[in-house]
Amino acid sequence: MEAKIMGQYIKENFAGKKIGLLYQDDDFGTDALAGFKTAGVNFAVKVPYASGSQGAAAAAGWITKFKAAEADVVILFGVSSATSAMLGVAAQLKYAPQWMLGSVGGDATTIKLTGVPAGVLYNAIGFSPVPATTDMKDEYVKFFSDIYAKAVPGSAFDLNVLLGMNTAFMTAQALKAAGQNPTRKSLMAVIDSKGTTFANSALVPLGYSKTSHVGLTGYWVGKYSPTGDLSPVGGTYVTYTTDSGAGAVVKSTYVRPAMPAKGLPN
Amino acid sequence: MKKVRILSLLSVTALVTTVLVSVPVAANAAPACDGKSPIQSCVGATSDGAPYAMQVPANFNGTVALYSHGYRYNVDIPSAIPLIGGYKVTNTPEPVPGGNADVAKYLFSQGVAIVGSGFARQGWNPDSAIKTNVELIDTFKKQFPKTTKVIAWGSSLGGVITQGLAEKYPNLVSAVAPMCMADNVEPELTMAGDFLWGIKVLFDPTIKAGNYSAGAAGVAESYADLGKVFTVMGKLQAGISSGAWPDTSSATGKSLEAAGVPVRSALLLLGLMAGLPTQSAHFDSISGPDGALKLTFPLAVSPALAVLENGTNAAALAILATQDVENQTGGAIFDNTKTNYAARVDSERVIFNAALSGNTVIDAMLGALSTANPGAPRAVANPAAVAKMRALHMNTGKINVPTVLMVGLADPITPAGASQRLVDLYTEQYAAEKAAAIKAYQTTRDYKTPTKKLLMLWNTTPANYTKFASTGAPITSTPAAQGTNHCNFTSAQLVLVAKSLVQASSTGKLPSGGALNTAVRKAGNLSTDKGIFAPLLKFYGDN
Repeated sequence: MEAKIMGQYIKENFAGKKIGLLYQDDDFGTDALAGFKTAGVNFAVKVPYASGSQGAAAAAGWITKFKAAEADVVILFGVSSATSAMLGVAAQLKYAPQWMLGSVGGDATTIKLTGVPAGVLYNAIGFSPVPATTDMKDEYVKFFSDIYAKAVPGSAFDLNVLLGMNTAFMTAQALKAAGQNPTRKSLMAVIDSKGTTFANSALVPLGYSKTSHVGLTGYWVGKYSPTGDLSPVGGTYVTYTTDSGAGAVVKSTYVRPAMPAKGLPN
Repeated sequence: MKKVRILSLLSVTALVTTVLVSVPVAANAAPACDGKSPIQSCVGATSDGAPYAMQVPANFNGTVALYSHGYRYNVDIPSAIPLIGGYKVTNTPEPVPGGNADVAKYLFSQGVAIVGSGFARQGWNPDSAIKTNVELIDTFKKQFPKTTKVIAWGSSLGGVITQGLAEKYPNLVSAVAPMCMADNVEPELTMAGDFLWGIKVLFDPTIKAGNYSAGAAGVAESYADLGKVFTVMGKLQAGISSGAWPDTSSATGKSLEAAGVPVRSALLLLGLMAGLPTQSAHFDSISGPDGALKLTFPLAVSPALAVLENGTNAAALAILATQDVENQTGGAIFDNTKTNYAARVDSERVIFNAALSGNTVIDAMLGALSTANPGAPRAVANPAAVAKMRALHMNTGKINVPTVLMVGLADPITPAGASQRLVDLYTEQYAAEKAAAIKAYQTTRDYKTPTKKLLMLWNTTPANYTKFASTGAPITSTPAAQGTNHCNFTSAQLVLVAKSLVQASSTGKLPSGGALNTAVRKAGNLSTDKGIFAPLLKFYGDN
């Protein structure tokens, strides 16, 4: 799903450019390859890496391949430690194509924890289903960050925190909807029937039904600031949605539920 | 990690179990008893010449525990062969597991006598051993007419013999305990054959790995294989650190090496193809040393080291048991001409993707091992020999009497899947018995709940157990972790099994509920969790 949306963005914004792809050489990467194929992206070079093999030495080898292919845009579709290794070594080698990061590997907090300065992310394109964590105009972000500041003073309110609180918020709604004595069966039934209506911070539709628990079904496109914060391109969120199959990527008209009063699930 | 270190840990002695009594007595004569008290010892030999030993307490209550020992090599092993060299074929009886004094003491305290045969023939011997045990039970009863109950137990191949005895002669035994039970001969030697074949085609094509010549020539070939396999394992151990493939590698192996395939990934793939556990005596595939390798070591390296440790442990048995069964059946018994190794590891390639170095490398390795590669020739069996092997004793898995199974979840020689098979079959059996009881109720209006006849004790591995030196190197000098190695049971665990058998023989019911849970907890590293599922041997997925 994410790869399809990335592919659509590439077609709309980087037509004619040489595209390179770094991907994890397992099911994660296999799914990404399938998504890019569905989106019709042709790569100048594809570089797989085995999970666990990422590091500075490996990254130097990756860069050699992308340079040789003269890639204009390099997509990093792996985990954050691979992104960290790649961007850290690229900065040292002054290799600077247009970077595009998958949401899994675009976690600035993790990248910074590996010792790579957040500045390496600057101007990289990223994708997210939830609002920017710095967007205090967003009622969910403001509400969750206020709670977090009181609960864990001094700790950064980052994407991991937002997604965690969002998941907990939705889980509480599911438990409440399942009644006083929930069972696994009743909980699943509620998620199947009402999951798409749960209040949550995501700007994209929720995918819950008897046949799918895919969850978030879209992304908005942003760019990273020098401090590693992702903000929407053009200043406003433009969200794209699609499915996990051959369905088209479309701009989403989804309007998320308003924050319940006092943040208490209905 | 030094080569000598890992080799010193090998548990082949667990197979060649401790002997207890020496017996020079004429076949089929009445037992010669010493008449001593409080324990009277008797020795003798059954009509097939198999020596036996009996020990009967003065407070004998009429119950005797018949123990069947595990696999013993059927040939002497020259001392020049590493690890197992110097072994001499022995048929000394073993009336309790490994001569365990705690177990004997417990049984005697309950007034239970012990008896065991050394069996007339070593090697793969359930056909003859079951007959021997039947005769031995009769001999014991004649010598001690007070006998009312026989409980039978055994380890490894002795587990097969014990289960076979209960299947064929349920009226002779009141309760049984096949422990660390081997599977039937074909699944067991398929596992061995798959691993040896992989070692041969990648790391040393001069290894025969089966299809040994008849007679003494075949024995000599198996000795040569033992030396070569152990040598390759030593080179692989070094290669896991250095990345180098053994210098004896085949052209196929060398082409994989040239393509950048890590030798640790190739070794792990062979282990997964064969169904070897990915936890071993010292490698839990979970822990990593502090520092940069904290996550990488368990993710990428530890599973291969576990396969190395397990595979080395299993290699001697794999070679010598294959040679033995081929000798019994008259030809090659391992055939992988139709084995789809890619399908075999369909799940494992996802779970161990990092250790296998990713899909591109996995596909390259599986391609190299496929039937399409003439550089990895498949083993072809002799159909007549296979037919003879299949005519050897096979356990059906039918549970006739109260049965206790116990096995290590990471036993590399008799995988836990062999016991899981019986658990699965018993689930079907019990469902059928329950359905029959319901049907009977419809006519008699008297519902009798079928008695549960199976207790499965899983010998679990600790949550984590790999230890590291301050340098970050794994420590392999510690005792093997619980749940790993072959039949690696504590006295407390064996006594729990003995207690369960004594209770079941007396009441007809196995322990259950709170009493069982308490006993299991006290014995340590055991679980009766019905949610545990040990993978069946790969043979069953192929057939």
